[in-house]
Order: sequence, then C-alpha cells, then structure tokens
Amino acid sequence: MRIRVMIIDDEPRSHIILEDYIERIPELQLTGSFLNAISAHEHLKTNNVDLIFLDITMPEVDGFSFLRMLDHQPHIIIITAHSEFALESYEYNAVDYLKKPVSFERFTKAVNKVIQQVDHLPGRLTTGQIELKIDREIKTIPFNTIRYFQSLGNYIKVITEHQTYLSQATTQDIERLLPRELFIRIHKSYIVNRSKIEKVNEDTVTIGTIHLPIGKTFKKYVRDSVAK
Amino acid sequence: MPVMKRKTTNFIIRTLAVYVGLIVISFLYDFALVESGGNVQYVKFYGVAKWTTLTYAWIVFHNKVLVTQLLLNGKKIYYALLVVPAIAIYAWLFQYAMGEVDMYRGTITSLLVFTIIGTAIYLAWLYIDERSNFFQLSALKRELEIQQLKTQLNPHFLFNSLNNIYSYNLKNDTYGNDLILKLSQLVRFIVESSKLDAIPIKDEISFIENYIAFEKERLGTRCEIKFVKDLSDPERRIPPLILFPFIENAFKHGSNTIRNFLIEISIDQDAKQIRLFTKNVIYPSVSTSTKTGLTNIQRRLELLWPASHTLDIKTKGEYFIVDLVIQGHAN
Repeated sequence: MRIRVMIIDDEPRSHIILEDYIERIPELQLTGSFLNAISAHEHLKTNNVDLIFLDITMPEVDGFSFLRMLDHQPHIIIITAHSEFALESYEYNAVDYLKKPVSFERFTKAVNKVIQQVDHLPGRLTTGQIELKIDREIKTIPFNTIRYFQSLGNYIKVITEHQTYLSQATTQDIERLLPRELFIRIHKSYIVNRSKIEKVNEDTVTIGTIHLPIGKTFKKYVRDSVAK
Repeated sequence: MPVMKRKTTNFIIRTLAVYVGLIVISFLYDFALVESGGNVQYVKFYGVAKWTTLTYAWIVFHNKVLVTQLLLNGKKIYYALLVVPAIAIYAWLFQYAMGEVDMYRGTITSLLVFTIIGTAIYLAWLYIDERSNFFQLSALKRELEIQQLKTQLNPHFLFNSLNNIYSYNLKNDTYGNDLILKLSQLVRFIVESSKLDAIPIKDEISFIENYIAFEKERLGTRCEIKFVKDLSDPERRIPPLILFPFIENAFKHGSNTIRNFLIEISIDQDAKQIRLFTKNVIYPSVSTSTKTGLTNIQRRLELLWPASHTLDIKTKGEYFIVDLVIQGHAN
C-alpha cells in the first residue's frame, strides 16, 4: 500500500524540493500540490490522502486553520521557515515538524514515522470502502456490504452480507479507521453499520435476525446518536 | 504639510503668550509706581503697553530674522553689518513713536539690554530643542540598528530565501548561484549600512531590487511587480533604509491573497526632491494593522526632515497607497 500524499505550500519553489524528495521514496505517491489551503480543501473532498506536507504561514487560510476545517485528519508533517509554531503543532497531532530548508535525510526520517504508523494499521480508507489486511492480502470491502465488526481478542471479524472475514486488528484500530457518520461503536466488542440497523431496544441492536448487545457504557451514546 | 502647520501654530501661540505675559508684568510694575489719578493712570498704561509692544516686536524681529536667517545661517558678516544700522534706525523710530524726542540715547541702551536678554533666551531655547531632537534621533537610530538585525531582514525572509536557493541547486540550475550573490549583497547592506548615517541613494535602490528578486521567487507567478526608477544623481547620499520599509510593507500586505495581484513601486529623483510611490491591493478581512508597521519610519522621517518631507498614506477602495516626497534631499 503506497502512502497517498499531498503538498500545501504557498511558495512554488518549495513544491520543487518536496516533489523531488517524494519521487525518491517509492512508498510515497503524490496526489496533488497546492499553493493555498482552499484549493487543497477542495481536492480532499474527492480524493483520499494519507499524509499532508503542510506549510503554516499561507495567505487567507493558514495551516492550522486548514486543519480545523477537516472532518477527518490524515497524517500531518509540518514544513515551515518558522520555528515558533512547533508547540502549537503538537495540539494538532502533527507527526513531525520540519524547518526550511529541509535536508533529504531529515525528510526521510519524518516520512518513516508515518510509514511505521501506517504499517501498524490493519488497513485504510478509500471513498466508500475499506482496504483490510486479511491473511497477508489486501481485501477491498465496500461499506454498504458491511453489517458489523466483532472483536475476538487480537482478531476482528468482519460480517458482510455474504461473507465473513478475519483480520488482525483491535476494535480501537478499526474504529479509528472508520468514518463516524457511517459506523457506530455499541459495545466493547461491536461496531455496527448505521444503515443496517433495523431496531434499537434498551439493551440490543437488531440487524436482520441478529441481536447485538449494547454495552453499559455505550447506552446513552447509542440512544443519542441513533435517535438522530 | 501637517508638520509645518503645527510648527507655525506653536510659534504663534508661544509668541502671543510671551507678549501677554510681558504686558501684564509691565502693568504690575507700574501699579507700584503710579499713586493715583484716573486719567494719568490711563495715559501711563497706554504708554507702557506701547513700549512693551515695540520692544517685543524688535526682539522677535532680531531673533527670527537677523539671528535665525543670518547669524545662524552662516552669514555672520551680513549680520554684523546689518545689526548696528538696524538697531539705530529702530531706536529712532521707537522714540519718535513714544513721543520722547530727546530720549534717543536712553532708548538705544534699553533696546540693547533687552536684545541681549531676548537673544540669550532664544539661543538657550534653540539649544535645548536641538539637544532633545538629537537624543531622540540617536535613540531611534539605535533602535533601528537592533531592528535591522532582528526584523528588517527577518529570519523567515532569510530562511525562505535560502530554501529558494536550495531548490535551484537541487535541480542543478545555476540561477541559484546568482541568488546566492544577491543574498550576500542584501546581508552585507543590512550589516554595513546600519552603522552609517548616509549612503548613496543607488545603494538603497539596489538593496530594494535584490529584495524584490527574492519576493518574486517566494511568490511565484501569482505576483506581478511593476518597479520603475529614475535617478538624476545616484551618488546623492540619504540615510539608509528610508525607502525600504515602504517596499517591505507593500509586499507584506499586498501578498496576503490567493488571487493574482499587482504591486506598483516607483522611485523618482530630480534636482529638487526624491519621490517614492507604492500601490498595492489591501485585503480588509485579513490585514487589520497596515499602518502600524510604518510608525517607526514615520517618526524617523519627522525627526530627520520635520519641514521638508510630505508623507501621504491612504486607502482608496481596495488599494493601499503611499506617496512620500523628500524635498531638497536634506541629509
């Protein structure tokens, strides 16, 4: 799985450096370079990106404002000529903070952190589907076929309309991957597809003929968010 | 010219205050001498007022015309030649106006005494004024030196410039070498000019041109720059970094947009004056403090040329316009 990256920097000469570096690392795949945060935000609406190389001082919308606009934040590596934003970048969970001009060695070190994090994940998201590692292979499963996820210790079972898959992942890993507006965690061990829910009782959620338990600590959350 | 207007108003107020003060003192002094009698007192008071007015008018004339224009203006010989006949003629007119024809010698003596006192006070005041101006200027200059090293060539500008140079070298483009030379000139100007009181105007201009070259690299194709210069005497000396702050300000605020934009700069010098004109688009939603960046340079201009510069800063629609004229190149 190559890491899909994008560049947001208002200085065109910075793009030349970053594009050169990205080309040298086979794990990276450039999906777009943007001179301002606004057109970058447009790009994100229709493209899946795992990692953004982000400048902070930009006209009209700066890097941090851009991050606040995002519903789902990919990995962020900040690249700027300023050193005073380093502290603030922690609040946005930036993977690394690079100061211009950046050497290729320093760039590689930052990218490797992301590669490691991505390798740990059981899969990744693309528009309308999830790519999951199943038996050392990557299976693409569309969201609308998934009924629910059930945790079995170190493994997670994916129950779809016609099949069941087993992937090495925890409930947390999967929950972090999935879009919240489509899936809901109802129990320590269960995440269900909202659109497959037929009925919600006090203690159970009904999907077809199956009744899944609602965890004690999830009751209020399920009632509030499914009622909407 | 707001500065000149303020100076003139100050002078008139000061003169009137001193004059009124003198009249009051003279009257009080006379009250003690004159015993009684309505009509006599009136005549006496009228005389005192006339005397004070005439004496004061002479002191003001002597200070403002003879001392300021001749003695302090390097025309000492003219002063020496003119002061004696002037005082003689004035004394003659004086006694004639007072109706005391036989008091010529007394009038001359009293005029001489008051002239000496008046001139002494005037010179002392000029000296104090100059000292305070001098201290303000040297404090500002020190501030400027620190600023130049800290903010004028701010580290971000430096790092961004280095980054741009790096991008050329990474691609083996020799334009990077040109930029290294330009950056060296920029840094050298900042380091060396901050120690000098005046530099040839052409040095300031080439500093500005180098600066613009780096802004062009930074902003790329979305920025269009119109830079026009016309120098009649490139060697003429001016204090360093008098024009640059306005250029820097135009770029700082004019580039705060994702649209394409234009920055216009023109510098004209002829035998009489230097004129700087900048025009950039301003974005009210983003930049709120366009003028604050210019307060330092405004103070410097006022201290350097209180009466011989005009600075017109205005916002016209979506444009921010600066029009600076320095007359006579005073340095």
